[in-house]
Amino acid sequence: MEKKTLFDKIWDAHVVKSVPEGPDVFFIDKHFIHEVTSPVAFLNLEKRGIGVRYPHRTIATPDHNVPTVDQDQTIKDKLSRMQVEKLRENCAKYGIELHDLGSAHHGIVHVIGPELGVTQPGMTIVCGDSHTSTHGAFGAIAFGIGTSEVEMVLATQCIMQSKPKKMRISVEGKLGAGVTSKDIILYIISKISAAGATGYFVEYAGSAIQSLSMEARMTVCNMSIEMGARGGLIAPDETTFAYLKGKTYAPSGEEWTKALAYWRTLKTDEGASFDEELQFDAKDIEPMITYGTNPGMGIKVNASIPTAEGMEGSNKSSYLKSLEYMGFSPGEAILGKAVDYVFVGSCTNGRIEDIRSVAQMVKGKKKASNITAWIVPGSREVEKQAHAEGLVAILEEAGFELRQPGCSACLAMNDDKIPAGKYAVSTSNRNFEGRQGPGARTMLASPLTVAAVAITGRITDPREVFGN
Amino acid sequence: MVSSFFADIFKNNCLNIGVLPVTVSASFADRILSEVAKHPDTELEIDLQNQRITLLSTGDGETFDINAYKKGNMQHGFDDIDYLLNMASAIDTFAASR
Repeated sequence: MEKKTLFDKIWDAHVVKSVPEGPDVFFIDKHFIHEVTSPVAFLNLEKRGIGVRYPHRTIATPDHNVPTVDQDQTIKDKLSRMQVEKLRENCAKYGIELHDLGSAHHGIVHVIGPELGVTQPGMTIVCGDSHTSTHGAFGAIAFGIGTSEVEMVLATQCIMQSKPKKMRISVEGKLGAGVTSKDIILYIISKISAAGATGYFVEYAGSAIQSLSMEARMTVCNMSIEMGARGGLIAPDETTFAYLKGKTYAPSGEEWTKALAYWRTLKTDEGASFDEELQFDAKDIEPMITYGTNPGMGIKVNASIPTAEGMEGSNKSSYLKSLEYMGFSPGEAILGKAVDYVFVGSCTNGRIEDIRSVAQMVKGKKKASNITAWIVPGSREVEKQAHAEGLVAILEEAGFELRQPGCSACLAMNDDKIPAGKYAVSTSNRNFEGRQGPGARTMLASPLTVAAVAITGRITDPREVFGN
Repeated sequence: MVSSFFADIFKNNCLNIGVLPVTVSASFADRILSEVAKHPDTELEIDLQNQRITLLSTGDGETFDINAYKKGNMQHGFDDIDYLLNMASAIDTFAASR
């Protein structure tokens, strides 16, 4: 029998037709939409005079540009208000399930999908957002699409896609103390660069990956796109099944047994081939931080910023431009640099486990006086649980400001912006120029590192603040 | 639209709305930029049929890749949604099996 990778198994099961010399007609099981990339898609459906073919396969929530305070009031920003109202209108018109602001399951689309059990192994999932790759943590093929494809999925439940190349990244061994899944992915991207997996779909494997919780796996898959990959996935296992059991939309009873039998087949056959294979050793990974303006510009938090030695031409000038934007010099240490803001949140690290780890670290301590600390739960469910576990009280006592769920300062498409020139150490996924606000200087790190920075007010190795 | 690199989602959006993304080598992109800096009215010719881009002022050029199906759509003014709507019943049958 032909040996197949996990990716092949799911892909092949969703091809309605292969166009000769062209892409595959690829069936989409679940489609998430939000307020920013859907309005034009709906408008174009109207222009074509067609509707939504399978409304029950689409789920909506406003997350990108919503305010994270006073969500029970009318949105002040005009564009944001219009987009959220449009989403409500379109969902009502076409019968699409909407988890609106203030409702029990409102939140970042990539946080609520898994939380509700909508995201399941073996599925194909798309959304008009790059970080749709998050859902790959469940052993699903999940990737971001553009508005033109949102329209396509609404109209036909299919998109036209050429099968990407396959890469397997294995991380073997045991992670050191103070090292998280965020450090794994920042480490991998720093090794292969922000374009290192362009054209590939990545499967993450190895004992270090298998040892991760679902939340931690989501962090890894979430940032697949930051190395250029179309997406990333992890074979489902007992951890996956235990997470899904009992979730609102997860199968139950006989259906659960049936689903489980199928899900257990979802792994790469021994001897199946990849176009590219990379191996990393968990013991080489330490707490990471980025110092530049793409996620590939990461170093161990106790390392020095690389010099421009050996770089030439436009590579060298763009490297120096990036450091200039950040206000850093080649070759200097990053430890001890003063910071102005910390941000805990986003589809990368806005889940309960992230909030729990920050709360445990800052319990009984106070944030440094130079730090503004924002903590933004990924969803209402996360917020509710954080209250129930007493985490909110701990964080507020430490001087963190808890805001309401949304994408918030990850992309500053809302009121949560880091001021120009200020330094933010952030649990989010992108450190591009202006990503967190015009002129904002972003350093990406794990929730543990962010907690350490909040306490000391400077770039700090979390292992030194909290011990091992 | 001409560049030495396009991100996937952006490139797909372009192809779907009838904007041709032409990926050129980094060195050719540099030559275009320096030529345009010298002569802002510089023209480029893009020959989709033969998949060739030419800098008219210097005659410099190179070939570019495009998926054959997407090329056909671009030449005939079709798009993916037209294609998919034409096979709606096959999609419905497939959907019913899932």
